[in-house]
Amino acid sequence: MELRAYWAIFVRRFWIIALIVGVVALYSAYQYYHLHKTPGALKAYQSTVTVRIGLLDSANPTDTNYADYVSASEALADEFTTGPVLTSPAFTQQIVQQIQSERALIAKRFPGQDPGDITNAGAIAGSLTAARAHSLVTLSVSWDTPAGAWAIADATGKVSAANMGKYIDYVVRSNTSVAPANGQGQAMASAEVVNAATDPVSIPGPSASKPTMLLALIVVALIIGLALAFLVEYLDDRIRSAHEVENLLQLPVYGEIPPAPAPGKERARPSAA
Amino acid sequence: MGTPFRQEQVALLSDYDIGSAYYAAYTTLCANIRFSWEGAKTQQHTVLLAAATSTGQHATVAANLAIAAAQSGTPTILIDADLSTPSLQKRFGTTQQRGLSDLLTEGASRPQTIFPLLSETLLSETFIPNLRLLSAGSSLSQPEQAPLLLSNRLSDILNALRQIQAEAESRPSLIIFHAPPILSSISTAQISALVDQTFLVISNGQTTRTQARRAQEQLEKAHATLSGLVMLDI
Repeated sequence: MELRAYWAIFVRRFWIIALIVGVVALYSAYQYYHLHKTPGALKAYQSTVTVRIGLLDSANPTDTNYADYVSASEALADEFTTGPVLTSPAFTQQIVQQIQSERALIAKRFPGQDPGDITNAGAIAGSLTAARAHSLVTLSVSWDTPAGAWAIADATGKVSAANMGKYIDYVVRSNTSVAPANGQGQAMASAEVVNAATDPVSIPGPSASKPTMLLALIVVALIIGLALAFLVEYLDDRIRSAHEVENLLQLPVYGEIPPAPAPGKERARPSAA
Repeated sequence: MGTPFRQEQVALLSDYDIGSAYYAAYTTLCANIRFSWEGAKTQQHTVLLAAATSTGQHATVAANLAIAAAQSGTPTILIDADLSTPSLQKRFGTTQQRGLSDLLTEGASRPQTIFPLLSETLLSETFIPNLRLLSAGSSLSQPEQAPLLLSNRLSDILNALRQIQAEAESRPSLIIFHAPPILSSISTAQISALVDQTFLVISNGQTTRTQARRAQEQLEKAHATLSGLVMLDI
């Protein structure tokens, strides 16, 4: 089939392509509008804080075993990173309290910026991720505003440093190889902030790839529309050209009559007076 | 009687400029049909324009071909054989109300009256020089009898028309039949069996391949001389 024949089919069945692409484009536009209106969906900010986790120094120097301390510290860091502490209600609630106590600091550091819903413990739990290298734990916070990302990271670091023993001391409670500390008969986990909360940096949001997918959806709709247009053309039995009917009936075409011009056109001959 | 009054109802070929593409298309069609006469046995050539299905335009094709032929100097008779939906008498604005159906009914009982009826009464002059019209005539009381009447009398009518043309003109002349769609009336197949050439009118974007094939098959069953096609853009 000639290229012109394809073009004629495209023009004739354009309404099918336009209908399908139009519907999908409207859906995509609606989805994109919602993404655009959802804070942090397309673009987020990340701030990180690094804490070192270890054991409090033993009161009895004869029990000191450096290798055991290192192993225990790494085990504690691993527990903090992969365990349920980070997302526990108690931990996130403490972060919220810490943030509320630092409202003035946040406002001073990010003047005039809205930190977002930084008192929502559930949202804070969802924004936290952790990675461990030996006993160093890097806590990352992804938030839809730079002020919020920094505030949560800062508060998380401070809460971890202040309350680590409360959350993960049970790890060493049954570990008899580790010397008891603080005269309490057991070692105490502790943490210190190694790197304070970093300045927030812009990162792609969780739905950052969705606009590309929506665009791909429109392209797919275009392909489907084209396929459907050619299918409809294939199923349409009507004769469209002299060449087609010549081949079909094996008869010559003696004449091709164009459409009758509209009244008033091609009527150059004036009527006789 | 003067020139018959012409009613401005449908745009016929005579309404268009001779230099227009529309006019040229009919002139070309007419010329191509004339080329195919070369070596014909008779000087009075008979042609049927038949559509597969009703398009509402194929009567215009027959009328315009007749006008093109007449204006090119070929004495032409146009016959409206679509007895169920006659239209040409109105289009040409002739005053003669009687036509083919009357000839069929009256000629059935008295075959000898066909020639005088045709030559003296039923053939109407039109506003186009060289073009005469045999209209469909008054409605048949029993339209379903049309195929039977055609099969009995059409051959006689055709001979009479040829005789009239031969007596009137020494030049080659043309007799054009406009008939109902092939797939809706067997009359068309009957006519096709008697004329010299049949042309199938295909409406671009309306006639389906199936309809075109069935029309061709029907004409082949009638042993028609299906010479070619006329492609009609609507």
